[in-house]
Amino acid sequence: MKAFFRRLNWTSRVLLVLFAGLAGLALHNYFRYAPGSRHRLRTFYDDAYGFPVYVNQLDFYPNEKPATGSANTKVVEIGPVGIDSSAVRANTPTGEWGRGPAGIDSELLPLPTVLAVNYTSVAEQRSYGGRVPLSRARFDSVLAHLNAQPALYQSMYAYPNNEPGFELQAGLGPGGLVVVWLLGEQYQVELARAHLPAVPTTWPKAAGVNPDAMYTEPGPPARSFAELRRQVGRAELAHLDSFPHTSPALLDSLGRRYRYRLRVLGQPLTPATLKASFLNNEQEPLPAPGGDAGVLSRAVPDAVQYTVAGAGLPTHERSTVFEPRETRRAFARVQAACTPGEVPELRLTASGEDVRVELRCRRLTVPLRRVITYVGPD
Amino acid sequence: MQPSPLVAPAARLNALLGAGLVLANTLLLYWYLFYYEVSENDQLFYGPVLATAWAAQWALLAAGSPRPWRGWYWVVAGLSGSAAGLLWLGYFWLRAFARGFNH
Repeated sequence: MKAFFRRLNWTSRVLLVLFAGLAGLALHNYFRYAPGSRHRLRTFYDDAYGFPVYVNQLDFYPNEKPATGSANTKVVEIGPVGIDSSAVRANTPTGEWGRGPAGIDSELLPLPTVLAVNYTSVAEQRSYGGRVPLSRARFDSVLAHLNAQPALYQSMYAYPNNEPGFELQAGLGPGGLVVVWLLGEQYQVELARAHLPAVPTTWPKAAGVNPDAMYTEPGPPARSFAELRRQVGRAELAHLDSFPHTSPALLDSLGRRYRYRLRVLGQPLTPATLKASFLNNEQEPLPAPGGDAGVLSRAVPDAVQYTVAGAGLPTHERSTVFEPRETRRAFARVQAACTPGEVPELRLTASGEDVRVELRCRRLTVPLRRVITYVGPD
Repeated sequence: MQPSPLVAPAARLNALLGAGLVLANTLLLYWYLFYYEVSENDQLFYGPVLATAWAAQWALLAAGSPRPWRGWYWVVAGLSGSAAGLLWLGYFWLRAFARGFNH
């Protein structure tokens, strides 16, 4: 061996050292790797309207006193603790994680006391922010329940080494609703629920940042539909260009191992009234069908206006403009699939939660999804 | 009488071993940097990074190798070096002018 190394010149030695180092790194990488561990957490999500929500902050703070009464955060009462909550006594002192009969383990973290959130809903064009207190009594009773039912402590999908665990999950709903859950693989319980106050929004930014936006906003009202479409496209570009800053390292922004995820709340909108009117290419509103389903239209509209009444929505009126390319493509597809003489039909359906618009003929139905929705009276 | 050195550095051994190490190191670098889930942005680095590492190692090997090998190694180093340069140019061109909408 010694003789072998003595026969090596300096180049080979350098390359050998490099080899050893790289092999170490590669092996380390191999053993450290877990599915998803190389990915950052997404910082943008869709909300209940199907439009993006931009999260500026979502941090669980472990050692902070919950701010009481500040920032108008309204804490809402929540339901029972467990799936089977018969054995649960409130305020059972269970201490930290890892105590108790089930041995819910971990070199665990101190339980968070506060969730700090700040997010921007594009659909509502509003930002919400504030702090949601997580009550310790609630945690304790949840842990008591879990300790009583060790079967709920299961290994979680895509955790490193398939460790069992729970994760905190925060859900953002329309109107500043925030719900915090504790989730296991087979277990879910609400820890807190609050309504955040609206805060001054940073989105969309003032025009002038983007030269495209500078010349188009504010612009004269469109005289033709093509012009309107151009304006919408430009505005979309300008807005996309000025999305608010989102912290890229959300996953470990506190350097802690909390796993949290966002989940979108589908706030069921029970549409009491659904009025729809279409703007065709001549911008003539067709007679409003009023009613729920099966709206028929001869021309393919580029814009649809409808009114939805539902609890929990900030405003009830929505104007929808379809994404022009998708509309054209869908129209071409449907026309190609039509039998000769058949007129394609645009159907507007109000299901319990949402309004779906689809273009159809007898053989083919194409849902129109990529729409630009304006929430508000105008 | 002159004592002969125990073992002299062997030209052939070093050249071949060095070439093998260059190949192995490049593979290891690939495993370390690019084998597991990488984002699409990171995939743009494949070419330039690997070619640069390759060129640097061949140049190192060429500098330390004797005659018959030396020339060939310089050729390989030069080729991969110029490829690396082109790839970096392409990479920066992509970043500057051909970015996706949201990137």
